[in-house]
Amino acid sequence: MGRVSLSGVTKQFDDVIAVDHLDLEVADREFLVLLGPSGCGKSTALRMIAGLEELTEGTITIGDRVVNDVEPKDRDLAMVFQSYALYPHLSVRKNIEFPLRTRGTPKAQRTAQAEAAAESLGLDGLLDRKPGQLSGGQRQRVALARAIVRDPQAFLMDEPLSNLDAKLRVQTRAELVELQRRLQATVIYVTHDQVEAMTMGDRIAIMNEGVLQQVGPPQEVYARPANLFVARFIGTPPMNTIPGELIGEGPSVVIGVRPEHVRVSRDIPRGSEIPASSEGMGATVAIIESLGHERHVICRLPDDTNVIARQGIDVPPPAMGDTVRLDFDAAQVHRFDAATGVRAG
Amino acid sequence: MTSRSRRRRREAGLGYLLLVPAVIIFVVFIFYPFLRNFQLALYLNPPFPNLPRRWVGLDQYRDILGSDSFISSLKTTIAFAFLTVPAGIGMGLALAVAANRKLRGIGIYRTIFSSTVATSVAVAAVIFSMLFNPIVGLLPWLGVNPNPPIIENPDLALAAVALVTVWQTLGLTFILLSAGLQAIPEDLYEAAQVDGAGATVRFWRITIPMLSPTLFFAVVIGSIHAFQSFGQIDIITSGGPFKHTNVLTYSIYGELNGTNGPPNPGKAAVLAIALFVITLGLTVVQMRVLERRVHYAR
Repeated sequence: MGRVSLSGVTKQFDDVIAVDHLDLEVADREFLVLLGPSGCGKSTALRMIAGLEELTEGTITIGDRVVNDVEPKDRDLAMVFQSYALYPHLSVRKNIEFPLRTRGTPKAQRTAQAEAAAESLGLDGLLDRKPGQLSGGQRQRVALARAIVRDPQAFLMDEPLSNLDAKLRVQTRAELVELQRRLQATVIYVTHDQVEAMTMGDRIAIMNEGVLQQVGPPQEVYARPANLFVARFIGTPPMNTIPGELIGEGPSVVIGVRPEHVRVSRDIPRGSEIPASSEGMGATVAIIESLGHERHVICRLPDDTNVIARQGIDVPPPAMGDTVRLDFDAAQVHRFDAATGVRAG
Repeated sequence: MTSRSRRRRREAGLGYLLLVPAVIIFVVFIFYPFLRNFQLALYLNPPFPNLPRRWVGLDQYRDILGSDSFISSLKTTIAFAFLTVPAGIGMGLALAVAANRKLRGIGIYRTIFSSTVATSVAVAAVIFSMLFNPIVGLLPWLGVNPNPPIIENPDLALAAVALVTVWQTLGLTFILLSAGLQAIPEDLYEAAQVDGAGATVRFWRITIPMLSPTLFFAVVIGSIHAFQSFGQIDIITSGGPFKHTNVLTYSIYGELNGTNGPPNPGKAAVLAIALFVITLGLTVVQMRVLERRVHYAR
């Protein structure tokens, strides 16, 4: 296993800059998640590491070797594709053996390794089937088995769970993490799903419009988002951001509060006027979403900004249309520069 | 009767009416000649014109199909197929692979490579007759002057006709195989690259198996095409020299136009039936044998 290092990596397609001076260090045995909305450049970055896209600028190092001019086949990586990219004309066994075959592994060893990989993913009974005869989840496992059959420097995964149904996705998520721990593997994992990122990654690297926004452990990224983009992207429901409302900080600040830090008080009688300058903010309850284990109360400020509060179900719910007061601990409030979006303290 | 079923019947009637022109064309040009051919084959034509033909049933089949001229014609046809089909598919595949790249201006090459599909056999034959011509052709211009001239050389004439055929069918083969190549998902190649496969391994382990249904189709129609070639032989060699290019289709024609004595529709019909059975048999064998080696995705 090895570390992967990107330095000033840039990719330009005609006049579009897909990845802009990306610097990233992935440590040996680390599970790093590249997270961002679609089109943010995360897949392009992964494909450059794999060697499937050429770099416009910058350097990629795998292990101790600069691989800019190394062909994909010689980079000693394994990749799991979103489409799984299984060879439809080969049996499951031959699919899994393929990376060994191309490297001239002797037949007996090939068979043993392929069977071990298949067994560890519960594919034992399916070795002689063709990919077309498998379910989506089984195909995904074959793709994984084909990756783990070797012991490469690093595993690259491009949205490998996005074609699974919700239930299977949650299950496979946990299995993937377990697999990575067991193999002590370096994994670079691309996803647009922040729940996957939060639950799987040792660290998350968040990208937007080709630019790296923040890298850090999930909890740190959640607790101290580096800018407004990260603040709004991480967390479900996302962080509330309210422009220019914090007294004494001037108008150029955007404040952010996580929904779980918003307190909703019902001490304002229904129909009375919303107090403008008291502590907290007056708002009207617009929508209440109950998820069973918790409740999202969507409140509307007088300027039509929505503020979402997360409530436990043990708290008595407000009624829709109620006038309420919202307040939050100063310690839990994030401040961002309104002009640049960068975290301000 | 409801109005719905009445309308459905009227629609069905219209459907059959629209089929009529196609059915007429098929009956006149395919079904009738096909059946009439079987009937003609039951009669023996006398060696002198204007005498009545005689009903012999299946008696003349053995004589005709056992004759040296039939056997040699069949051998020529098989040789012709072996000269044209593998070469045609090999070259079509090479061009299709070469043109299946995302390069600027590759469309120009694709157009050039597929252009022979718009060339008729007759035009191709005339072009190559000129090129082979010992007086005004390309070869004398190049200073090469084979003696005897290529199309009069018993050793080269069949190969020359095969060359024309390969050239003329190359456009279609190229288009077929290009379409097959474009249907192979790009991510299979990417996965294979990361899995350690170089260009050669990718070609043999991904391209060829994924293309095998198309290749199979090209082999079958190429073989049928080779067994039915006529125009280029008529125009370039007329079956000569010394019947060295006298393929089955041309021998059928020879029986009818009087090249081999008086026109003999009965014998021509037997030969045509033999060609039909051989082509059908070849196709069935290819279906059985080759298809086992074809990888269909599902």
